[in-house]
Amino acid sequence: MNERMSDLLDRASDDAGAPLGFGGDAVLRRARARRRRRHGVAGIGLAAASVAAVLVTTQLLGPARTDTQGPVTSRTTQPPTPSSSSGMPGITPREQAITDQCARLHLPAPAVHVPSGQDGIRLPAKGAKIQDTSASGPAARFLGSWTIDAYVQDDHGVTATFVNPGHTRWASCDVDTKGIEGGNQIWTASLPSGPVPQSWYGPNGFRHQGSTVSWAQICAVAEGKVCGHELFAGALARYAGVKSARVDAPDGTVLTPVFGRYTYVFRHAEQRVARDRPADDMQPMHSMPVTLLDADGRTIIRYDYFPAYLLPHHCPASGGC
Amino acid sequence: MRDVDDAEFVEFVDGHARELRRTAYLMCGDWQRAEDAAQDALVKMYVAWSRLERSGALRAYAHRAVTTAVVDQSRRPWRREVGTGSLPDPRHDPGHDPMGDVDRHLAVVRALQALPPRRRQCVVLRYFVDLSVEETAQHLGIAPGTVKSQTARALEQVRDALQEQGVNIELEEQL
Repeated sequence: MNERMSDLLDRASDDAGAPLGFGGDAVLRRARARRRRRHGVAGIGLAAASVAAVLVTTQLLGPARTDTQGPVTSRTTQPPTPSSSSGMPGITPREQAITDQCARLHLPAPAVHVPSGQDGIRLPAKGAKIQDTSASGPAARFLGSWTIDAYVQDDHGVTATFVNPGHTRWASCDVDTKGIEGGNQIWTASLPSGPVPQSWYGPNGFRHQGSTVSWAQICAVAEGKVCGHELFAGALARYAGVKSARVDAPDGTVLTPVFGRYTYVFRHAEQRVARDRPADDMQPMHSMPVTLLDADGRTIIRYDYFPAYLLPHHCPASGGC
Repeated sequence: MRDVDDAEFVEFVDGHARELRRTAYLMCGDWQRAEDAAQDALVKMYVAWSRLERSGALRAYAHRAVTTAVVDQSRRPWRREVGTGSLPDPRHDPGHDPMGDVDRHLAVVRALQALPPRRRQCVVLRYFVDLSVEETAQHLGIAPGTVKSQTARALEQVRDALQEQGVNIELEEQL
């Protein structure tokens, strides 16, 4: 097969018409701001040089200090108080509060595949049960320098996503406000880029988007052994060209996720399991299809996603929680 | 800058940004980094807009600036972090077509990423932006002979890399 290099590069860089995340006006604003900052820095530099010149002149021409005066006591400078505030410009008080809450959470240890007892499971298999190992890793204080991308809040808590300064990694955070065990969690992953892959199967053979546990069903402790109500807290990475998404919850509710620039999130609670269900009954995992739509409302792809099942701490590994 | 220059700048950005993002993507293999690099390059262009406009080499300059922006990005500390949540490798997936279009494109991008930055710049500017040897040399500040030799080595490296990844492509060199 003979290929011209120019043709190869042309096809390899095909963005499938994915729209840009910026326009001429946005670049113009950024460029003007940068120019203003430069001029400001130049002005400050000039002022600093002037002050330095005055100080040098004072040192050279002013009266010499005698030894009897003793050393000048240095003024102690208080180190800056560690602040929970990220200090990000343009952040609202609510976003700041969410960032602070998430920054206090601890990253999980690697997930453990409960039924087989094997470690190292990266991708949630269909209906896999993954022991909640939250709060065993380091605190997510790095979120102070990340940008909140999207969040959604309901009666049970909040699900938020963050993006690092280089836009290479993202974090998903669930904060519980109603005593849902396992409801506080945070994890990070690489931020995928480019158009939505059209042919993408995980090692488990199922087509899905996430490469880590990106979906959690969280059982409320108050529900007893069988979780009557389940909370689906979804946080997924967004691809180029994706303008909106539709999520079909197991109870038939159509969810409309909240979109950020790089991610999208949603929360949904439903009564999915009968309260009198036997404790050891293995309930089938329902698919939660995600339909990704472009700017014209056309379907880009429909992922038939099977969420991982996050077991609360108190649940036995054999199930039946 | 005058308002008329601002309007021309905005028009240039709107007309060329996607093409610049593609150039950046070939340099870095990541669409979001590519978008950042395209923006960075355009912001830098704004400062020198009047001079560049007079020189009449806006497009060539913009593409060179984008390739430089990608190289600069890779030198920043936060670009060195290693992600752990890697995506599934399509080569190991069931039903995967090793010669599928998507896989071939990814193989090309991966092969480009394996090139040293200067060689990558030469290949992208010569074969994607379609600059001549002399234009490429002028924009990169190197001799035309160096452009030729760097490009030849890059093509050879790309061909070998593609074969290693199971993509059998005969490159038709256009030096």
